[in-house]
Amino acid sequence: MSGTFLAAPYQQRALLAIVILGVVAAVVGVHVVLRRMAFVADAMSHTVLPGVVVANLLGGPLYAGALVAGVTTAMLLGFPARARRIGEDAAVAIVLTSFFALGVAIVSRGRSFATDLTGFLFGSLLTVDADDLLLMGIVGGVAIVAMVVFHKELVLRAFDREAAEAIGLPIARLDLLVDLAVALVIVTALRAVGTLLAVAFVITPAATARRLGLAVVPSMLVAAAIAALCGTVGLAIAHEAGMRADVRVAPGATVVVLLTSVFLVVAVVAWWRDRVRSA
Amino acid sequence: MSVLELDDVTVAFDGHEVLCGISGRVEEGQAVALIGPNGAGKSTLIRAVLGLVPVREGRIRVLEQDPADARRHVGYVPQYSRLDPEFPVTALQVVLMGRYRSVGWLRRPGRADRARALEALASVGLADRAKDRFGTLSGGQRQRVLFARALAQDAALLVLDEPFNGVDTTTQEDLVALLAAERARGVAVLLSTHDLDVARHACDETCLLNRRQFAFGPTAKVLEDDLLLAAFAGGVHLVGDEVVGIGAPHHHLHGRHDPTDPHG
Repeated sequence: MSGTFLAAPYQQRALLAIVILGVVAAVVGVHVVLRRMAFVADAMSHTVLPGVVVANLLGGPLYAGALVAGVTTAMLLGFPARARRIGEDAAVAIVLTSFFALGVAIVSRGRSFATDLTGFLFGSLLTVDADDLLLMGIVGGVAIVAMVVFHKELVLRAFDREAAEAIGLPIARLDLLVDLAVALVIVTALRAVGTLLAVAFVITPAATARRLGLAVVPSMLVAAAIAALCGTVGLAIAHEAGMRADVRVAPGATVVVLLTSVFLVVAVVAWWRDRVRSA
Repeated sequence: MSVLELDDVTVAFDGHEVLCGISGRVEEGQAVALIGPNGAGKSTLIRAVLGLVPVREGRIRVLEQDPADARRHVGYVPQYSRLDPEFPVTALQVVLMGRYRSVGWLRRPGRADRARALEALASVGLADRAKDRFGTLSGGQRQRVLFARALAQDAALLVLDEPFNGVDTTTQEDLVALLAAERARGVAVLLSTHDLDVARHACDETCLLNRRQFAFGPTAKVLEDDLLLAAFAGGVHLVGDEVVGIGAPHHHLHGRHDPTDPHG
């Protein structure tokens, strides 16, 4: 291990991975937060597990397995509520728990159950390689392009569903698009921070930007900047903890703790600002 | 050519009939009020006119097209209270949404769209609030913005769902005047309201309904006591001219509301 933060190529790749994930998750996350659909991101972070596990068992690419499971989840969640005859929350809960249980059941067949499961759920930021970065860029790029191309329609749908319907926008397809974009973010996050922590990248920076009261596009830029900043600081903390105190700290989890800390600080400041304004 | 034709329309959800026997026409420059108690099917009829719910029997034609094909020509004004006041959009951005249908997919609104949106915002008296956040405006101002959004669409038919609920008197009067101006340009109007006074002043025709059509015709004729009593299942509670509830037959019309009546 090098003595200087970012001196080693693996650290540089880790930082690049966090920045890519932060930008992709920010663009998608702002739409998720606007739609108040955080539970879909949470569900998606669990439901990709069986796809990853099956891909691992078959010796195939984990990304492909996660993508298949994520797309399947998006399609199931997009199945019209009227046809499902149950509420969206119940549908999400059923899909989430059944897919996650399936993933755990499959992975538990292996001898390295605990290690494999931990790797899938929490990733391994410092072992991200160049191929991972390329895939993250491609998958994340697709998600960003989709969000940019349909930006105005997605914002209208989030703001006023009835008006969007009234001018003929295909609501179900727009909802499916956001769900698929969330699936792509989870796939992007897979190797770096794992499926579970990915949801923090989708929701927390976007929620922080929302609490700042920013408009839609500035929210995306600020959310991406927060993720990149927390990524850099989190990696530095994990590195320094290892070098100076010989304490092993998971860098991905450290970044998520920082994201949450920033959110809490912003929430308190915004609360105080609102109180002063209303006084 | 009628702007809107309703021909013995029946709408059903999950096999249950929620509205039936609705017939009438709305011509260019004409305004029709939808009057009926809560749950009468006013919003359902509006959604059918917008092409959002299927018609089981009968037929709806908008500009001689199926409703779903005529959406470009229909401006919809919802109640402001249904929208999230925390949503980060400005008044101008909301009005620009009225241009999205003509802008089309994959394109951004251009200068002409922005100019039209600003013009519509000015016509509702909010030109100086274009950059203000939608949620920071008063309820009446938010309703004006939604009205401007429909104006920016340059629609042939304006459909308004309870547009005066919770808005101040000045806003209501201004919006009624704007509706009159739009009608003078040939725009047709379909609006649901609880306010009989609005129906009398703003609409030449009224459709009185409660799961079925009780009357469709000149407002002064339709809003007679016997028809209202029939449509409102025997009793109408009024505050001023606004229908606030229905009750037993011994309750009466036109200001005979007892404010101490717990059902009133």
